[in-house]
Amino acid sequence: MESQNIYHNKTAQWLSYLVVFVGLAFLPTFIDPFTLNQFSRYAVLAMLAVSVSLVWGFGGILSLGQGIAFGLAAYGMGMTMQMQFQDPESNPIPSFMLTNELSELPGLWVPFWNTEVGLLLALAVPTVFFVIFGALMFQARVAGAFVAIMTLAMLAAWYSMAYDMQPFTAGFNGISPPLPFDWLGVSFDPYSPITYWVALGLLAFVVLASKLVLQSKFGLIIQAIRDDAERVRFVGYNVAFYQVVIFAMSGFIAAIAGITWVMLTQYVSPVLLEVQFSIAMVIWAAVGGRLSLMGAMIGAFLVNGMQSYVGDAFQSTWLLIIGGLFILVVRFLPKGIAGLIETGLGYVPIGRRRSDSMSSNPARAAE
Amino acid sequence: MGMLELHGVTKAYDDFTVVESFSFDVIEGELRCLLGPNGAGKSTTMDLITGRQKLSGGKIVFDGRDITGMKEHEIARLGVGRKFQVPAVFRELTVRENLEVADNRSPNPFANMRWFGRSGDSRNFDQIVDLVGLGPRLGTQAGFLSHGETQWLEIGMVLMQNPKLLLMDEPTAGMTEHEKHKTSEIFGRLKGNHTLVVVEHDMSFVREIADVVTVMHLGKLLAEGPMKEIEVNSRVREVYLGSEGNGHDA
Ligand SMILES: Nc1ncnc2c1ncn2[C@@H]1O[C@H](COP(=O)(O)OP(=O)(O)O)[C@@H](O)[C@H]1O
Ligand SMILES: [Mg+2]
Repeated sequence: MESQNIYHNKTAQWLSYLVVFVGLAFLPTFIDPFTLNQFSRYAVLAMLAVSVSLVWGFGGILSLGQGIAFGLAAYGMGMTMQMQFQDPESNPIPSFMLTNELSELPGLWVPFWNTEVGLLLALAVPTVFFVIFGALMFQARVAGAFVAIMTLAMLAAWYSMAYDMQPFTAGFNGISPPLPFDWLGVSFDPYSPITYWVALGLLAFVVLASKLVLQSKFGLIIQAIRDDAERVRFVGYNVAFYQVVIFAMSGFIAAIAGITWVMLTQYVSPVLLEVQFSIAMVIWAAVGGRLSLMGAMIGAFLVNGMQSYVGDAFQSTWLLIIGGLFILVVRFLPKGIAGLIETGLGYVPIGRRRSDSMSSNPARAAE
Repeated sequence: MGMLELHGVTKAYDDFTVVESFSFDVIEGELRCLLGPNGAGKSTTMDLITGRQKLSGGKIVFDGRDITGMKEHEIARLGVGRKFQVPAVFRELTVRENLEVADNRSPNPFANMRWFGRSGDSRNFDQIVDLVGLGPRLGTQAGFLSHGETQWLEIGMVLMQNPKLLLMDEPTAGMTEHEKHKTSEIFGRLKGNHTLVVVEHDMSFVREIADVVTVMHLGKLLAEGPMKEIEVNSRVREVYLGSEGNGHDA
């Protein structure tokens, strides 16, 4: 009947997530603060890969604009943290604004005096933007490569905006809040275990919530749309509505990642809105396996880990290596590392032997 | 009153009229066969009914409502199910998942995010699986089904929508004689409980299932009536049946 490969067993999938996250939670007992900070960063990048897996792997929407949500949220967080440092009486304006000849705090910045409002805006603005942008695209039935081009163009527009609005964003230099994020009486020192656990906890939340959504009927409909959007309309579903929801969800996840990133780096600049960065997210997901959330996560950890520890030795040829890796994966491993694991586990017998190879459903991935 | 009424429906491309003031009326519980040589405009007519293409003129009334100009999913939700000429199923999903997607009881994405149940324990899932004979294939990815099985799966999907009107575009195309026989059995069981419009080329199949036959030619209504009358109609024989001699059109 249903697949005999343990890879497709839902209980086994949830258990593997449990093992991975519990295992990762013990990391601070083994490693130094610098490495811990590296791992916190990988956790954030893994959220981005998961957002790509969700929207592209399962939704069939190749978004090259995940950096928009990531970047906007990062700016929101950067502004929030900067305003935590400012003082309404003695020091009401960030110093870069003074050098840009602003004499009072711009209206855009005022809400960020309040940390909760700042966080809310950092999450809500990118998500709402994805809703509007998605509605415009999907109602016009934009699909395939055109989605990739439109999201890329939109990303480039945001990049130049962040770059050009020097008095508000500090342009190329970016914003570097001097103190760690401080909230609910906790100072989130980027090198502390607690900050790592926050990043890991958010990654776990993002992955498990996505997993749940994919296992619901919504997840099934989204994959049906990826297979044949036209056909889904004649079943009676509003395809554009579903696409907007999954697109906005992926944007929301990227926004969570953006906030966490700035907590870990105390720095935000237009680099986060660069085209290369958003394309890299797609590569992580593809290498790990876009049809598996866990795969996408592994891809982000692996590629970025390699970049940190091996990449420096190669310097500028690193991009070339990653590009080559991407081409190899697309050509020979369309389901990435997760596909390898799936094939490997296919040889592990569970219960009855696989009798009918047709029903083992080899070309399918875990939701 | 008709379940489906087409009033002077016209579809024209720039310099080419594909369907021309075509009218017909299907009453509740009827099984109507739509015949006509290739290019007669049968599939286009189904496109017009289901909102896939916009009308150039005329109007379409379904179940007492004017559905002209409505969107595909709105028409589907009113209760029009459609099987395509080229079978369209979700190839990367299993047979079971295809049927579950087709069970469209809630159109709302947020409601569906909270739905983890299986259609298996609801509605007529078992009956439908039984009817189309895909029980042993529920766990199979739809892309691995044979052509005939794919046709049956799509028929099953249309039934899962629980529609008031079923439009079936060439359900036996590409089937072996054995498969055709099984399909006519399926239609025999649907007949009476459902309102159907079936496009078919196979005359013996049509003879077996049809109540009333409508013949289209060059986008226009050529003849309409019981199969016995249609078969002896000289104009029909001339443009259609006669042209092939054996009563089969490609
Ligand atoms: N987009 C189009 N532009 C111009 N002509 C078209 C288009 N689509 C279909 N046609 C023509 O419409 C006619 C009817 O096609 P169709 O409805 O598929 O016929 P049937 O299903 O009866 O075989 C054909 O002659 C076909 O070439
Ligand atoms: Mg046709």
